[in-house]
Amino acid sequence: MAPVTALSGRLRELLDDLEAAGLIRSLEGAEEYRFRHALTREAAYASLTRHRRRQLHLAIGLFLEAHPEASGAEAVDLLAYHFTNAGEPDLACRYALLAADRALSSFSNSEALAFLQQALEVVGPDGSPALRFQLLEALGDVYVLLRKGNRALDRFSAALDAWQAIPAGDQWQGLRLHRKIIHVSVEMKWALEEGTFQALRAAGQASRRALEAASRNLLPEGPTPETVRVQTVLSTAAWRMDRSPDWEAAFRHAQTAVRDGRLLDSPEVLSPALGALAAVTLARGELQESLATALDRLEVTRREGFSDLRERLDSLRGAGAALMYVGNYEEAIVLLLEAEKIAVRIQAVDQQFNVLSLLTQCWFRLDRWDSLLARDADWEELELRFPQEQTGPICFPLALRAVVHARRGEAARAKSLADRSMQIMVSTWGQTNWLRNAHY
Amino acid sequence: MPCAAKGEFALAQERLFLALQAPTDPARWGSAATTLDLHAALADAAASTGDLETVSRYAPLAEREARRIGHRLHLGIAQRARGQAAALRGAYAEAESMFDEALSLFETLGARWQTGRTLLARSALRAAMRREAEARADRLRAESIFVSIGAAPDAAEARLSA
Repeated sequence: MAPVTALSGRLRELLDDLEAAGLIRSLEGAEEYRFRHALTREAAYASLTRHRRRQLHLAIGLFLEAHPEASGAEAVDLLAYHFTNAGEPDLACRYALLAADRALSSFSNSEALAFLQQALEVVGPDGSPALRFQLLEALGDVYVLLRKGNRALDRFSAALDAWQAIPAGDQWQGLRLHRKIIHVSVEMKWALEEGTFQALRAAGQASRRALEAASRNLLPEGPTPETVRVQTVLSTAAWRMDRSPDWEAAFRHAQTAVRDGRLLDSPEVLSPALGALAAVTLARGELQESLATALDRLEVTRREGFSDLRERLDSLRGAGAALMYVGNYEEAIVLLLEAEKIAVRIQAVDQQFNVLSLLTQCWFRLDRWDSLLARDADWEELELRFPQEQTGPICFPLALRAVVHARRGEAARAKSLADRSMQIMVSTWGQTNWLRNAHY
Repeated sequence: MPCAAKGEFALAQERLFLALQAPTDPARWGSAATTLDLHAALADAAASTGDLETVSRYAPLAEREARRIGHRLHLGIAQRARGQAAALRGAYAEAESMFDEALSLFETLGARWQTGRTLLARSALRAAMRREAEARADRLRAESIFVSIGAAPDAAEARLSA
């Protein structure tokens, strides 16, 4: 505090007085004091004027910035906190982005959200478009992880507005936002009711047109990680965004993404590209080819040094699904159980549901009713805790559970699950406008 | 659309025919139905209702694809459906050979309910062939499996078929 307030001698006296009054206590072996009670701290804080508080937060922030060793690994969190409360847009933005990254690396999504949101408030609606762009894009990314599609879309759209207001904005930043908007809209398909999904679909289609135009005119000849990501998302968009999927376009984009991903030798962009190719080959009925691609992807994410746990989780889920589709249930279960552990650890709610759904199908196919029914309580708990936006539609596993209860002669339970399954199908697809999966 | 059968199997068949014509969506949730899934399910449902035309159309398709990719469950289902159709035609030896293959596949997989269903089908066939002791052994084995997995309605059906 002394370097902060420049009150070295006087400060010592004041601190002694406060300690004698029982309001604070010194920590042994360190030049550090703590309030004895949180209420005392709050009262002291409230007694400062807003201006004075900002001054002190700025002073502390600048001190910590100059002495990062004083606060250790949490330095960026403290810097974000103090510069945000100091009302300093540039510094608040810089450290909120770093603090959010740090929070995301330990899967604390809500914490990341709080850092970014508070910094955005400091920047304000009329603040620097460049700062708003960075914070809004980062907020959208976190909402994607939380599977809050509408909120992610709101933030990405606002980021696009901010980007357009940046003089001579980088074209690649705009393309990246369009890619992310498409990604959100394809990811959320069927997770939202048809009416709610329309806004996402419209935004996704607009971004798809922008990206397709750019892929013809703007993208460079040589591949970059961003061009691979663009090809990957265009592949998925070709079959998920239209009523009639364009499998040829989807295959072409996925093949290009995989080829370029291999050229770049970048596992982080190659893995999603392989995932897109595995989905297309599955839909084309090429089950062994889809499995080979999914296993190739798994090998990529298991390489030493690959650190993206979310991508590894998705590759495990994908390989488990591909094994299931060729009837290799035992091996599928091993991979899916591994995926489930990661999903729980990193709080990837949608993947918990995906994986449990695939496990349910494997157990169902193997007539392992005990294993399947043993997870009834898990299903119910997850369903109570999370809305469909975060889980995706769970009509299929509900139907499988209904069948098992029916086969055991538990008619009332079977009917209740079947009714719930049908209710989800109707609210998602309407009474008749069903895809193959729903009929099945 | 062939729909000679009655009841729930017929409704299931109708849905499966619609599914065959509908576009697929290989979403992440694992609910995508492959053409092989549909062919096997159609053959199974049709065999249960004695719809020979549908069995003869879809069971060979399911069998071929299942053999090609090594899908033991669907191969077993296709072979059992073909066995049931053969039994209805009076081709008992052919039917028994198909039931045997299906049984072996289900047992290897550890799919006990499918094993029980196949034993019950083979029991009916052997009874029709006047091989009462073998029919009874199959039926008792089926009943025992159904009881062990809690398949109460199937266990009751096995007892009633005595």
